[in-house]
Amino acid sequence: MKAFAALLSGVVTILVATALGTALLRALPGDPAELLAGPRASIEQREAVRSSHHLGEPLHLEIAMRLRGALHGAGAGPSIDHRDCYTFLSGKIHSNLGRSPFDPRPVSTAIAQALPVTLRIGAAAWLLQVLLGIGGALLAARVHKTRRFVAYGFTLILCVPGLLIGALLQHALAVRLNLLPLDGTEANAWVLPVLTLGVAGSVLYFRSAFTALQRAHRQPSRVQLAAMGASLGLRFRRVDLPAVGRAVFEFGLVDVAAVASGALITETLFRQPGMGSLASTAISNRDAAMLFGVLLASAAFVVCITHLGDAIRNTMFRGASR
Amino acid sequence: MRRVRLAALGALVLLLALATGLTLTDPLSSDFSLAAPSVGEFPGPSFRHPLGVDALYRDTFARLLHGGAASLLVGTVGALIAMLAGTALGTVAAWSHVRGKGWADRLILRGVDALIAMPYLLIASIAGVLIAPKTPWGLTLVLGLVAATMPVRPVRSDALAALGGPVIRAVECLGSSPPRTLSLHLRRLLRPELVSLFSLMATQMVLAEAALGFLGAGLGPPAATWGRMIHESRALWHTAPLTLLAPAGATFALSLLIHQLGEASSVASLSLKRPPLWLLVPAALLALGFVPPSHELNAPPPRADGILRISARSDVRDFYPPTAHDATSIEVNSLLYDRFFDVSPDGLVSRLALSLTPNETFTRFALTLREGRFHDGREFSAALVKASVERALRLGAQTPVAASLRGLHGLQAFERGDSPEVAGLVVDNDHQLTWLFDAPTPRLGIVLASPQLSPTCTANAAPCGAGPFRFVSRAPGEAIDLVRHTSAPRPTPGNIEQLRIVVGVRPESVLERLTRGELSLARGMASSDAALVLAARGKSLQAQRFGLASVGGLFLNTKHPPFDQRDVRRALSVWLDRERILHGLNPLAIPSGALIPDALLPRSIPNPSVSDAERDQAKATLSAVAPASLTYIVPADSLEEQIAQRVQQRLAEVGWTITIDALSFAAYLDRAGSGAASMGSVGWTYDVPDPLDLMSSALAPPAPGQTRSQNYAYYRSPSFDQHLARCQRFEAPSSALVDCTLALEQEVLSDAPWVVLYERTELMVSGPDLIWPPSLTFPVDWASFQWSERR
Repeated sequence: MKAFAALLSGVVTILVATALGTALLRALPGDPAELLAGPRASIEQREAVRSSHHLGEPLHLEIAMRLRGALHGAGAGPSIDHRDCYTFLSGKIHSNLGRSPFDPRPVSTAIAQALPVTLRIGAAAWLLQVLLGIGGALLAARVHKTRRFVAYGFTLILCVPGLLIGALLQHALAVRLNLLPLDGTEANAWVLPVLTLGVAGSVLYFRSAFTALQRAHRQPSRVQLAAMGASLGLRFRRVDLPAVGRAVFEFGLVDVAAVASGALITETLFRQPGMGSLASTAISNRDAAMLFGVLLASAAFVVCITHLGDAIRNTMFRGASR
Repeated sequence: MRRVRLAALGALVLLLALATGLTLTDPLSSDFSLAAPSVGEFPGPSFRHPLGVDALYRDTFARLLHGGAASLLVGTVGALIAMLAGTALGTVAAWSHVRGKGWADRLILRGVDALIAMPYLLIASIAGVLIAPKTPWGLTLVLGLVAATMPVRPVRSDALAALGGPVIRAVECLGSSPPRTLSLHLRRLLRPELVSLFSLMATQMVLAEAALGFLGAGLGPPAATWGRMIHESRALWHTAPLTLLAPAGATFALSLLIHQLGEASSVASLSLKRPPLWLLVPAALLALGFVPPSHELNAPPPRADGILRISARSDVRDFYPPTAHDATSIEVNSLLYDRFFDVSPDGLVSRLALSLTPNETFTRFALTLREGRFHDGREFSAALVKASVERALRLGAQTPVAASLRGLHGLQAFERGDSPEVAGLVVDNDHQLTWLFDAPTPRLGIVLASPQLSPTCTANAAPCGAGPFRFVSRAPGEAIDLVRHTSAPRPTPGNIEQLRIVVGVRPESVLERLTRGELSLARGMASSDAALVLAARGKSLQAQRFGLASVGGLFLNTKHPPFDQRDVRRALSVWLDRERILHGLNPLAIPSGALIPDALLPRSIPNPSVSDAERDQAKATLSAVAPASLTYIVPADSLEEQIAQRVQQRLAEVGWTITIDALSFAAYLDRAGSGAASMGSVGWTYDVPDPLDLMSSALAPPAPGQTRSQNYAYYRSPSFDQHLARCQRFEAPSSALVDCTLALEQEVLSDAPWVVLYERTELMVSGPDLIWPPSLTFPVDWASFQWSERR
């Protein structure tokens, strides 16, 4: 039943993202075909876009056809133009999100090329967030004298605009000390965006880990272990770590979308060719086709990660509680 | 309680200071007196401007105060909107779960989960771009509504606990109705959590406004919001850090204040004691460390790989020469596709063609080609050149060069599809192509010097020509890699084997990249860096400033009122004071009102100055027709955007309201071509030294529509057309052509579809390892640069 609810939720998300993109496209003044093909496209190009995006069909049909274009099999019917498809699984699965008037690549290809960059930065930043958050929480929980210092330190980070953190790090580590590249795609150019995103996003992990630790410290089992003379390490392994792990895991599932939001700023700031840069460029280009593609891909990605995490949690923590 | 009182008092003082400051300051007026001493260098804080000024010499403190009002509005009202909607949904969901059948709970939760899965900033940016709010209230509504799903789950969770508790059960037993229970008793029970959540939401709203502004999806120029200020400060981060630190620090301070207020009111606070204020000391030190780097310019370290690395602000839009029209595309294409000729004051200079021999009546020309190969290995033959020209001509109005070859024999039949080839192009042998015209065409040499006719191997496939460099790869938005084409028809002297064009490099980082060795040569740098280089010239770097033969200004769309009236266009061109608009902006932009730059056509008589009487007359004309609102399109984060803001200020003096729409360069080109904008920035770089180039390529072709014409003003004038046709009959170069062109220029200036404001120069800087060619023009011939022997 839970799996069904999760699947339903995922489907709803994708539907909402598609409907939102479609509705926005329709709500805008002017011809959606012109918006997708660019104002200087020829009549033929515009009609081709109208046909390939199923514009002018009833809303539900347009959404259905968009979804079908976004993910379909190699044998899908003639209504889909496979030339702009990006293929997975040895060509068995296709994705066609149309074409952007501002990017030479089909939207699906652009997204497929950008996604690994964002995944790499996002995963490294997430790890850093968790490490900083848990580290801070452990320090605050164990050493009482540091609690106020750590708590307010994280509060300050919470209130600093992420891009200021990025600008300061860039100035210090790239401009002043010349340790890292300013931005771009050089070998270690990913370090600055990871640091920025990692530091900026660590606050909420700190909060959830700290709260979990405080609760764990009041748990009868831990008090009992302490009374029995169990070592600090044992108490930590038996009670604290599972509690913190569960809290961080729970929060991490909710936080995937926030990491994606953060990527929008950091990738733009550090010129990383990921989804964030793609979205940022599409925003400044007013590129409806690319924005729609990025929105759909982000939503699908977040849904997949969340549900994968759900499945892991259900398996892992059920076992742990036993 | 003491902390709450203190924080509330702090907030009150802040509001009072804000209210006082708002009434006393103007965030939009520029103090031009500060621009006088040295162009490009920013005056620091002073008594009149305690936080200094921005790139347009507007008081940073005044903008900070007005931005604070906007941020407070977004933070508080936006969070309130989100909280009202989110609390209502959360409590209904909880009520449905506890007291009802739970379908509303499931429905709300599924909907919320679906929306939360989409990144907030992305949704907010999309909404911001599509709705394009014009005021802080609009932005507040956008951010508030998009965030409405965020409080639903926490509120539901707290409400579930409260609904199952003794207080709610007791009031229900006493007969409280469900609406009263939810709106009164439950609200009271949840107050501490709601306050805490509100403060968190408000903090995030303030930060989101800054992020949206940074992405260019918030309020447009010249709005004074903190996000916008951060966005505009990007070009100055390393030279005038206060322009960044002021708005970013203010965002931080406001977020902290709101957060502390919330924490103080919440029982769930992590640390109820006094905050360790000394923590702010390292933060302040960190900010102070953000001082400008020393103004020492170092030569870049030599790189052993031999690749010439240059930068370009925008990506290549079009790799097909007949239709490419933006500067980056023309420049990169000039490396891939060589032209037949160059033009010098003495006549044609051979490139791919060795000679062009006309008959006496200029109706028959023999074009002799060099020997060599295209990039795909095929021989550079007359037959393939003919096919290339025919491919270009098949585009018709999409390429401006087609209009210049109207008299080519058999062209009309070819365009109609009656003939598979142009009868006027005759292949004599492998290396000679004869051009036959129905009417005298003395300017064919100049037409053949146009980059639009550069021979191509195939149409719209991978870039393939006969230029000195061959296309290797391209990562969109990152870089384009080229390698030397060893069997090119035209031998070039340079020893540059590979060329990497790094695209999307922001002006403020160009010089920094040069000194780090990431670029071999810097150009298109920020105005403050250009000033720095000009002052430090002659040290370890070699720098050269050269005329681009480029003019810039604005176009006035003659289709749109009030610019359909010639008098209004003329009055506007008189009213815009070039000296004042350009004052202190960029040392490389020189005020000028001429359509043909001095670099191309030096004139003995300077531009006539405008008298006070003429200016008064212009003011009266413009004031009389002041339109409700006009949209002015510009490429974002550019000199043009700064100029647009000054034009906006100047036109506000006659009661005109101008809305600036700052777009990416690609979007700007598309919007200008679509004819939707009333006015916008415009520029022209003469890529052939033909004084008629702008007139024949940008003003004579029919209105853009679906063609690639750059007649963004939708200018049409039979008199101009006749005059242009007369000029085109003169041989180039000749004094008769110069006289005719100058008269034509006066006609265009009088009609004023374009208002030229400045002539652009370029500054290039490199280390001593690079040997430059003796003269530079646009497009820069990178093939003639050389690495020195000692590398």
